[in-house]
Amino acid sequence: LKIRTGDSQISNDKGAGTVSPFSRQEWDNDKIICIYYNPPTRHVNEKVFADDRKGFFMSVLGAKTLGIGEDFLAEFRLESDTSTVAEIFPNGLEKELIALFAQAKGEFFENGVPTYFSSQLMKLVKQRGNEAVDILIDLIVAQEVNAEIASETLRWIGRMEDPITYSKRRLLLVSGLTSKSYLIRDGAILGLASMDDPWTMPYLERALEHEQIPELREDIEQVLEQLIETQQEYSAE
Amino acid sequence: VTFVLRKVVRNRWHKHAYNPEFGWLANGEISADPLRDLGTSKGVLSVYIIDDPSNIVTLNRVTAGMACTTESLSNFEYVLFSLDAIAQAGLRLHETLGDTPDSYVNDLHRDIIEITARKLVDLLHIVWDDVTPIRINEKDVLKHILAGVSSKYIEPSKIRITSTKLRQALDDL
Repeated sequence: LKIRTGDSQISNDKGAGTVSPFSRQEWDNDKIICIYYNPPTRHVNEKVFADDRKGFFMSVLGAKTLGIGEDFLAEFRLESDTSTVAEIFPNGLEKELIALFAQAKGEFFENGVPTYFSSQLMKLVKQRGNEAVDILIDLIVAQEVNAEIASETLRWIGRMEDPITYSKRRLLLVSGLTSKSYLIRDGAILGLASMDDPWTMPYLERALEHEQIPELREDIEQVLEQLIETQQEYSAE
Repeated sequence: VTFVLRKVVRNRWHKHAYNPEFGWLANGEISADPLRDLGTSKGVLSVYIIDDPSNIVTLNRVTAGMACTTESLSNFEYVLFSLDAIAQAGLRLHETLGDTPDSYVNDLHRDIIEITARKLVDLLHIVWDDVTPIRINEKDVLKHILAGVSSKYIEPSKIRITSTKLRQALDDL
């Protein structure tokens, strides 16, 4: 059973239609072992999931980002039946984006200054449209990519001028507001400020209720003020 | 008190308290990240002099001029620190013209010169406690640039930003 990580739903060949490659019965009676390959350290890691479906799903998401430049990302098997194996493979575009994030680790980011990373990112999003943004949502929400680079991504995503991907990019930015990483939340706030879309106000208001960091609270308040002004400008027109 | 303005990336200047990635830092220690915003070339660091930081008009004019030198319209982030800190770190200033499309702003430009690694780290330690990074959102940066163009402070042909948003706004002026 081969699973493309670009698939939004992972289902087994028994047609259960769940996101697990194994049936409910197998889940209930057995342990699932996840073996994943970690290219930077050349280590093969093993993790056992028993009655931990959430952990399993997170591992599937996490496994996506581990295989930089590699074909094999992870395999899942039942403890009692080694022949039942699900393997995770990235799709081509996802591999390209993962590699781009990996290359960007040494880059110096400065406001308003495009880098190789931002230029390539914009190019991929323009060329591949919503498919690329969907993968970015997966990578950034799963928080398996470097937070500083994810934050930089969100800044450029908000700044980009591309009507075709507008709604998806807006979705990516509002998703970033709930990230555990303050750097990602910061990037999302900046991206939304650049997008200047009053539709995002309820999401920012909700984020303000939960935000603990004073600077980010001030930023959200500032963006909300800006969006009220934008809304008034639209009304006046 | 005269201040010095340096463009930075705000996240590198946080005080680390809420970033678990900096849990390893001992009390009183500063991560090396802010040094990335104090990158020198031939021992020289570019800054702008601000005589009165409470004068928002001047501050906006300086940041708008500086923002015009980048390729993309974006938020602008900076720190201000006391001019005295430069002497305390054993450093000195040299008057050189800036490279913005606003000649008034260019006159405020200075180079901190003859910087050694030790003096740069000393400077960071001297300013760290009093420094608060400031952010101006992209929309306000655009407003300040347009105000500069309207007032004829900024020469539009010298703006390096290649954003459609800015071009459209300039056409609408």
